[in-house]
Amino acid sequence: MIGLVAGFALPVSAAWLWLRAWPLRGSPDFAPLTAALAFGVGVGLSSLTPMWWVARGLSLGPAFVAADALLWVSLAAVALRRLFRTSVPGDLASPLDAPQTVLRVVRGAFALVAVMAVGIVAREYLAAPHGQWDAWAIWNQKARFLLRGGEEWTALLGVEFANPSHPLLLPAVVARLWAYAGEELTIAPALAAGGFGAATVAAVMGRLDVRQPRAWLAGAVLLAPPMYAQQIISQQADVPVGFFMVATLALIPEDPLALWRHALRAARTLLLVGLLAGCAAWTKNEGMVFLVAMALLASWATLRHGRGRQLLWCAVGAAPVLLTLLWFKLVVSPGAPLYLEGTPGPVGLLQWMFDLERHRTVLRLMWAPLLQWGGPLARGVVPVGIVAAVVVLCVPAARRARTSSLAVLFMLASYHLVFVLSSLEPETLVPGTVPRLVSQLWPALVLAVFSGVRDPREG
Amino acid sequence: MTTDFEQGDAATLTPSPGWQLMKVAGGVVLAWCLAAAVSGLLAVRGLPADPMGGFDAEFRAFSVLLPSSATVGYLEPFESAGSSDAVRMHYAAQYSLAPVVVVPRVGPEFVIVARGTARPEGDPRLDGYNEVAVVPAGHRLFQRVP
Repeated sequence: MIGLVAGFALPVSAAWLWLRAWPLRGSPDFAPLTAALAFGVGVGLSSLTPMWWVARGLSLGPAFVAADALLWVSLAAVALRRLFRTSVPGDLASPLDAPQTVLRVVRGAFALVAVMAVGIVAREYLAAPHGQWDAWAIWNQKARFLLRGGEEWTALLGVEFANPSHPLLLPAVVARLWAYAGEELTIAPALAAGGFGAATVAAVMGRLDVRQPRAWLAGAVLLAPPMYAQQIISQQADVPVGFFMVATLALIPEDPLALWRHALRAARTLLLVGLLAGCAAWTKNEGMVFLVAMALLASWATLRHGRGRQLLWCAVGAAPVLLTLLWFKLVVSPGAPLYLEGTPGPVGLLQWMFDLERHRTVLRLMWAPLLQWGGPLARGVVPVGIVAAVVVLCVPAARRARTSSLAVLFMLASYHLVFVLSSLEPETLVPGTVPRLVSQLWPALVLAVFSGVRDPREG
Repeated sequence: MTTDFEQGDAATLTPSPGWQLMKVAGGVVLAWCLAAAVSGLLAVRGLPADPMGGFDAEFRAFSVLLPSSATVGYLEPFESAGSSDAVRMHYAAQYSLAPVVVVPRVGPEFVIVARGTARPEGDPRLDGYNEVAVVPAGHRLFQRVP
């Protein structure tokens, strides 16, 4: 158990020290957001070391643990050295302090909702310590291949039902934690899952500024749907990819012009945007669509302000993850995902794309699970959230909060398009997939909506 | 810049109608959050235990008898082969025995016969195989006759 804790703490602490030593000053780098980013950067990068290790034909044994620990301790030491040498300014002052009574009430309600969400998570874990279906059929199983297989880890490609082309961030994270623990504890993937859930809440609330009631309200709304709490502990990759999406969005300042006033700050922010969006792509195929969306957004934001060269930082941030992903996708497991196998050629795809009947069928099939998502007393939150996100997109007063809304709508449109272009029967594919996809977008949707909620005193 | 608070000493600011409206809306949302969370907590009270932990331990007994990296056969149930339970059992064998690859067919050197999958009167699909191990849960391991 000590090994397991060390496996978590080392990369997250090192990332946190780096974020403190080289802060994103001027961005809303409040403590919860910094903690969430540290989790994302630490866990995301720590998924690369076991991959590079097994790619060399080595086992994830004590030698790996020693080398990995040395790497993170060294990185932490570099950041500590800088922290001792320089004074790092504290967090920015909040523009407005909310009335204490309101803040206390909202915080109290959030605490109650959070305690109940933790209760759901604990109960689900006790009932299913190996996770839900896809956890043991795909993600934890692949972690076992990585840990037990040594140089034979690529045998996992022979398990057709486990979607061999799926990216490996989550299995690598779990395999690494098992290597640190010295045994395959079910609590390791559960802790990783809980960590991603907590970091998601911290990212959303940190971005919205925890000194404002809207942040606590958003946290409560995020955790309220029981299906989301269940997804957190399902040990599947949907909450992790959703975390990387929302953490990336949380980095993007409301006022891009403020970012460009400080070249170093802009560089650090773009570096992290690239890294976290890259981690989303390394977690699930849906993350690749998100990466494309972020690349388009970053290109637009930099080029329109004549800062095209700053895009390089985005690429630098994404490079370590993307190179690993490209190696896996092009060398280890080339091939389309199951849902895109057997699709017709370009002409056939174009026909499908413009086939209104296919669009209508997919929309009809998507609607029911979108409406049902949430669980008891939470049905309907997704359509309401989408409408609110569209309002945020359209209302001039909320124009500064458009990024998350655009990202959510772009992702929804992409999922729809993939359903239209898939060779699988939409009646089979869509109803079973949509609830998981909603869990990916739920945090970004909550962030989008609450970013548009302004304190009336802000004018 | 306009403000929805009346001007004056900070301690005596009077909330505007906009602020009051937000408080009411926030209160409604919070009440919904609490109700949804309570309903979720109540729903998971009687959650049954997932059988995967048991399956994992049952199939694990074969791991000492199998080569560390191999393709092992898995006998599909003689009836209801595509049922959720049958698929789950096959996937459980795979989950338990990784990095061995468990394929749903007969032919490899070793074949796993999960309980209830072979015909009770003797399954012709296992002709040419000998039983080499059986676990208390009823799963059996067969090896091709040399």
